[in-house]
Amino acid sequence: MIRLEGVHKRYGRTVALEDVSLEVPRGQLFGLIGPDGAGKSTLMHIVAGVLAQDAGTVVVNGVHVDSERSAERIKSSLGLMPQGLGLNLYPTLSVEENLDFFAGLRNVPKAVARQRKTQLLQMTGLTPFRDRAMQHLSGGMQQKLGLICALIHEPELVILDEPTTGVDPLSRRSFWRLLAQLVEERGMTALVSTAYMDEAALFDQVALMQRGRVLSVGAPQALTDRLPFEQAIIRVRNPESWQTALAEHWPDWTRWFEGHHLHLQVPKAQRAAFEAWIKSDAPSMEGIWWQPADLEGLFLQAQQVHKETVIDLPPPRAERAIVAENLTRRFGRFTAVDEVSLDVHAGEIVGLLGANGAGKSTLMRMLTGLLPPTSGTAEVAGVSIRGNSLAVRRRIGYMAQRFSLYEELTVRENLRLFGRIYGLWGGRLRERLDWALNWSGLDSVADSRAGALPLGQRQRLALSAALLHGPSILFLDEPTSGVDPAGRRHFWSLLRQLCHDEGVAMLVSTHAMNEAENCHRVVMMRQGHKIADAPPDVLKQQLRERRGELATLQVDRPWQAERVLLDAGLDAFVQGRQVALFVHGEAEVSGRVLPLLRQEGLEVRGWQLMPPTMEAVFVSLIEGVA
Amino acid sequence: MRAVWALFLKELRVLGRDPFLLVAVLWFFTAEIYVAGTGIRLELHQAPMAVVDEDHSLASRQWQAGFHEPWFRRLPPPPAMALALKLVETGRAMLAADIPPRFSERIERGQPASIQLFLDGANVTLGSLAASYAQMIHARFNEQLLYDRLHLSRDQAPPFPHVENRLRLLFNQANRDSWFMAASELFAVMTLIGMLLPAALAVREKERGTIEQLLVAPLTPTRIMLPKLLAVMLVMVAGFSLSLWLIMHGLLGVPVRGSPWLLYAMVALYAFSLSGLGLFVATITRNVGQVMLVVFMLMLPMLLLSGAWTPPESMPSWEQALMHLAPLYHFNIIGNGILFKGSDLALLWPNVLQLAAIGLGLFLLGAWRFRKMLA
Repeated sequence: MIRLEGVHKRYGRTVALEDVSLEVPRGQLFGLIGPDGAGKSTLMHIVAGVLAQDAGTVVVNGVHVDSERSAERIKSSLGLMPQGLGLNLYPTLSVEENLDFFAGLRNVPKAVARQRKTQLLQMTGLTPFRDRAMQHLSGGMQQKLGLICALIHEPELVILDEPTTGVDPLSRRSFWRLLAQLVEERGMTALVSTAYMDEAALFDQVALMQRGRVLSVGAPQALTDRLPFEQAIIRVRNPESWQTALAEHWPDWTRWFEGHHLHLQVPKAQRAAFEAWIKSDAPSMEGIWWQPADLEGLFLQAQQVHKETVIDLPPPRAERAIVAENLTRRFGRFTAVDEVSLDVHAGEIVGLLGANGAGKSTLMRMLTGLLPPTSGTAEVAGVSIRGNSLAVRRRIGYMAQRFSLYEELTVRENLRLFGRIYGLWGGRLRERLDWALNWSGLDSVADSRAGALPLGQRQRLALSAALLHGPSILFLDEPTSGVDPAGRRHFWSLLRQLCHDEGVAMLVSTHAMNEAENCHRVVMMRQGHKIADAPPDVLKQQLRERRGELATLQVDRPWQAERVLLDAGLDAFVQGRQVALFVHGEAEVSGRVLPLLRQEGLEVRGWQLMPPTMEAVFVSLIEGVA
Repeated sequence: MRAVWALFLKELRVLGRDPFLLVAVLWFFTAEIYVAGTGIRLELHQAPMAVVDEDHSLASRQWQAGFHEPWFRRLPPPPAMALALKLVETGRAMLAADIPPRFSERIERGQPASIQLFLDGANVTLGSLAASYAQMIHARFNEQLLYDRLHLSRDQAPPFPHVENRLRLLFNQANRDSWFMAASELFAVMTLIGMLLPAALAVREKERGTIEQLLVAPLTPTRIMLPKLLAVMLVMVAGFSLSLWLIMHGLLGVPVRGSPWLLYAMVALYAFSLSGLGLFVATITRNVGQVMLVVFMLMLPMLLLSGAWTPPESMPSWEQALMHLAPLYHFNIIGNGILFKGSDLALLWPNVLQLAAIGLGLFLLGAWRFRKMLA
């Protein structure tokens, strides 16, 4: 379907693509992964005929794309969905009007369009919302509408640039299910990029890109099988003692912590030695689980992210930084936040989870004083938010969902500006500026314009700007949305350090469930209500008591396996390349699940019981109530 | 205060790094003024004229000689009057004259003679100008006939009663269009930029979401607003200086007869008056594109009510009353007064006072709306 040979592209002096050769067979779901600024979007735009390559051959659907005219010829056979939520849509048009517009644009005959529209709306579950204006849809629905608008002319190739960035896990899941179904039923080819590695695991093939080059291409399974390590997840009691022990015995292994879970990349050859060490010498632990290396491991290895200093979070302090009581916010007849009470202590990281449109941002905007509550009270730093006092604002830092610094200014100028706004001057300002640049690792780009930075660096800049004045309370609204795994990990280690060193209280919203493991406590919201508020471990424990253990099965076709298990009345969901389901004991797996799958011709290559993940908690809480 | 200073520097940097705004401001303050000063003329220039001379006499040629360059341009004579009229109809000629046979014979005999003159009245300004020029030329021609009949020469005092016509223009003795046109254009440009810039600066913060970061900072709405207004004032004063000294004074020779300091003070006052309107525009729009639309919508009535293109005296009384509310009307009087007449405050104070009052009103409106938007 797509063939690239020796493709080059530069913007001024920056090289975006260098000698890229790729082949995407017809009917595949082909993924592009790689850090921000690796050239994924550029590659997609060249394939879509929107950008012209500087050198090299591009063949799409049998057409050599080397001129404006040849680019026009391929456009009728492809659909493109650019990066950003609903950017290809018209906010004031309704769902149906958007679809009609794209059908008209693509010259789809009226009768055919009507039939496809009904079908696509039904597949996406958007039929009840067909008259609603696009701007009033939730992020997940906008994304689905964007997809079906790109599909209304039944293209042979769809190009989707980070379609699930900023979308909650549930919507993400149903988005991929929909895409997989379309690819399979219509023999469509899809070229997709994503920052979520668990999603990439579901693609037929992935290409890992870095600095404009393709590092490796292959089926996710084949790529990860080739990796020389396995992943051990160890639940530890004392992270710091593990840190010292690892540094002494296994200093070269890549490792990171998610809460009390140590993730360790253990070279296959050394697994036996490591297991022996665990039995004899190692600090105490509560359990160990082995997993084959995954794409995240591949990604981090390519990025050469190695050991990171592990920071054990101290317990929160007694004093309360944020206290909210029965906060409610209505927009017209719509209640965005409904009677939410919440507190955050000094030195505590509280994660705010929920689907798009659950009211997370609204809650945060009320607490920062940006939005007056309809009813209820809240105190931030001991002062009511209703007064919107300058004294309180001096003590808080806020990072909005959207990058909201000045793109025309350099990194240093942005920081200096916000320093001065917060009353820092002279030597003190210089000191804080140096600290921020050094701490965030932005020294090397200090004099680049903020607008020119890749997303990961921009987010760190925004965090630094929010921190410059040394606030005691931080509000972070989806700070890592769209940031690649390495950047995300870096960002979170910064947050933990901050909590550890300075006792900053943080309220962080996120769609990445493994990030929630980094929090002291997790607050979950659904349709404006708070539905859970407990430490991650407690939530997982509750889930275990309610639903049983989590069995993860390695299968070749996870979507089909999920379908089979759901049809059998089992509670299954796709997690990475695996299918997970709740079971009561191992017997249920071997006695019921495995035969069921085998019956349908689905081979299970391995399985194990795992402690429930935050993702499982999220899915069961959000879906379970629905 | 330091925060205000930091934000002020930020505004200037952001402006300086926006190639579009920068080029627009530079263009408006330089090339636009020069083009207006040299390119636009209010007098008749090379109006094409077709004459069908059916007399071919000394008198007929003398009459035609009155219509000369640079005001008129004679077209090759068409063979028949119908064709000459065709030229007017198609717009290739502005005037068409028919000098009938025996024109000179009738003059010789002392009988009244007539010439038929058609004028294109579609463009009212040019039509009426051409008509009045033709009347003057005609009057001179008749006067000449009188002299000839009395065998007098032109330099002798005429033996009949008459009032001698010796005009002296004040302030712009040579009656140069370029002075007035350039000044009017500059004031119009200042009006445009003075509304556009604060609105664009403010709405951009909304568009990019940067406003949220400012709102969570310990800044009052005044401290967010003030740096923008200061930056706009600086740009206005700088642009005005560039335009005045380089283009108008340097290239077009426009005099600056009054105090330059008073002029600068008035420019600052004018920038302040418009900024309120700009802020107001920013509160009702969502992006720079919408700002442009609204500003252009405001611009047209402002220009029409300014008195620069239309004499205030010839407007209906309700519009005259309205003009006193248009900032540009007062600024035109003040600016032209200081530039050309050398007026000072003692003379201009009624207009200065009115401009200040209007400006304050607009500013309060804009600031009130802006604060409400931020809250």
